[in-house]
Amino acid sequence: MTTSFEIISNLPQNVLICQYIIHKNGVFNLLTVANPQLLSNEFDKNSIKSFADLISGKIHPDDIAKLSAAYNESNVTGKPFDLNLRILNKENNYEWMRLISRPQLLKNGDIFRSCFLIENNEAEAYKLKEKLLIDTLSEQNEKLEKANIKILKSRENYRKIMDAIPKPIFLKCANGQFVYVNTEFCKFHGKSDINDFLELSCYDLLPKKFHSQVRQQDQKTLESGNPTWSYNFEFSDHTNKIRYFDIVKSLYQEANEDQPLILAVMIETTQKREAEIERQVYIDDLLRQNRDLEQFSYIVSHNLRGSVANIIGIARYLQIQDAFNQPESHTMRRMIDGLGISATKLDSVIKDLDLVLRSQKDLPYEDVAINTLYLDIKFEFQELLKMDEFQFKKDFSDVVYVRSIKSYLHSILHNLISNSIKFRKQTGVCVIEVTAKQDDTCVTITVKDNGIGLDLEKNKDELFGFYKRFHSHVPGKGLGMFMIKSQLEILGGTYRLDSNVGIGTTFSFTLYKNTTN
Amino acid sequence: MISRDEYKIIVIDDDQISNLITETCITQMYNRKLFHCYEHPLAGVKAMEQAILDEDTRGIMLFLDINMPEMNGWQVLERLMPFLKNNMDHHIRIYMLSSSIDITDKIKAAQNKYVSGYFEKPLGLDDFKDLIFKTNFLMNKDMLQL
Repeated sequence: MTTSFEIISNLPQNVLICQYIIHKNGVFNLLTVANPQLLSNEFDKNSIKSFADLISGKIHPDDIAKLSAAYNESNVTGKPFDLNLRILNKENNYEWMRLISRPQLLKNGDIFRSCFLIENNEAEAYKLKEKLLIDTLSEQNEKLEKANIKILKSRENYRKIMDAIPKPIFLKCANGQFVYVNTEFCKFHGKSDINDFLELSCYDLLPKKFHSQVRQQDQKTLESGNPTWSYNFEFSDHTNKIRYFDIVKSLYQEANEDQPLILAVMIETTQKREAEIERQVYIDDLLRQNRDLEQFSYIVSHNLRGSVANIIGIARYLQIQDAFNQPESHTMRRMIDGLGISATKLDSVIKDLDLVLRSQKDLPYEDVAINTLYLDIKFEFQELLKMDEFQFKKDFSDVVYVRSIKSYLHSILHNLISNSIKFRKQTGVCVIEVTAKQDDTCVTITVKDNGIGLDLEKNKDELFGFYKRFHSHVPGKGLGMFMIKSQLEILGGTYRLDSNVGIGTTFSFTLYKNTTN
Repeated sequence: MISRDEYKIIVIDDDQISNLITETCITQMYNRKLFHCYEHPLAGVKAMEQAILDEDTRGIMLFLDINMPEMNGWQVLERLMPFLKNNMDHHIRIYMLSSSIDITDKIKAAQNKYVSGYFEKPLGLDDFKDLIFKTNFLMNKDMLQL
């Protein structure tokens, strides 16, 4: 036993070696202890019965469980263990030491164990420090992750709240890209999922005419940080119905996002707008009725009165002639003729009045075959057409039927063609061109002639007036354009008149397909 | 021959029957030779201009209809305005003669300083007689045929 102490006494000072046998009956037999001063200056080898005695009470309480687990495992498996433990050194300070313990099963069933305790293992300590650092970092990471989850949770919550608000709401970046849209917004566009929008920008959904306005407002919102309102935006929803919105936009800084966002809430004003439009229709209707009444009073005061005045005048002079007992003279004959003419005029004014007033009644819409209508009208002018050289051109290749009130359409075309015939040039061929074109929303019918034309600038105020005439060389009552205008108004159509003196006149009118009553 | 003492009467009206009545009324008591009637407003304007520039004309009495095609009575007045302004010393009397009973026409006539009066059609004998005596422009009583 003594010799073995001496043999290993040449070992480096920082390694403690201890070898012992554990007998089957559990009795320890210490064989070798080298450099025991590593742990204690007062070492009495007789009092040491085992390695456990040597280090008992010197291991850091936190490391005891680790050591005993490794020891038990090593006993069962017969494999060595290698641990870093905090152990009290001779200065009575905890110091990291490396413990290597190798078991060896002897033939008689006893276990021979060699333990090496290596002091001051700085490399290991460094490793541990590193591990500690990593542990701390991962702990912080975990905390961060938890915080993130919290944020996401809260984001999810407020989005749930936004989903519950029955108004379209969206979040977008400064460049217009959608970050979030709520359920109502999806519904409005007929989509079920927010993901349908995340690739899009608000400019993909907004009519072009609003783009620059929106860009400016967004800029203002981002710069000032104050909410901005914009009114009467026009959107078509997924059913293509036009709806109107006022939009309030505020600056929105989402947690954990650097870039400022714009939160927009859309407040629908469609009903209000529709009510306004409806009111406007009523107002227009009232104005039109008022204008009709004015026309009526105009006709009464000018045209009816004109004929009546003539009849009164003639009657007065006939009485005077009679009183002076003059024979029937040339003047008398003209007076009597005048009486007849005035009465006839009076009658025709009454008839025209009836025509104008009758046109206010509701008439049914039907599909009017445009070519047939055109041929009918041309036939009505056949006597007139014999008088001069006419050339008619037509193009109805694009349109077969026009949905309209037939008698109005007939009257409008009749009056236009009649005007073209009446106001033709005195020389040359009179060319009258009638065409019809259509697209998805409307039908446009054009009547073009090479007639004497009209100075539109000079006559613009009276062009469509009742009993207004602009040429005295051609007979007419000045009713045609008035009828065209009032009938187009009832049909909800629009018109365009181009005319140049000496070149010709082009009248186009457009009837819209959606106004089918 | 028209003497310097005589006034020209010019009527501008597109209504032939009304013109017949006006003519009958005026010529009942006035020299037919001095009566001139124009159905086309432009022809009437030219006649007026000529009459104003004519040194022999002592005075002009214009009966002007309002409601006419091509050019209404007010537009005729606009056209005559420069001549009227430059010849203030002439005896020019302008009367609107219209079938209109529209009050706005009457107001418009009253507001125009070149318009001396407004007659509702038909022009009656008494209207014209009053006019002659009131304005006292007819110096030669022999011209009266009635």
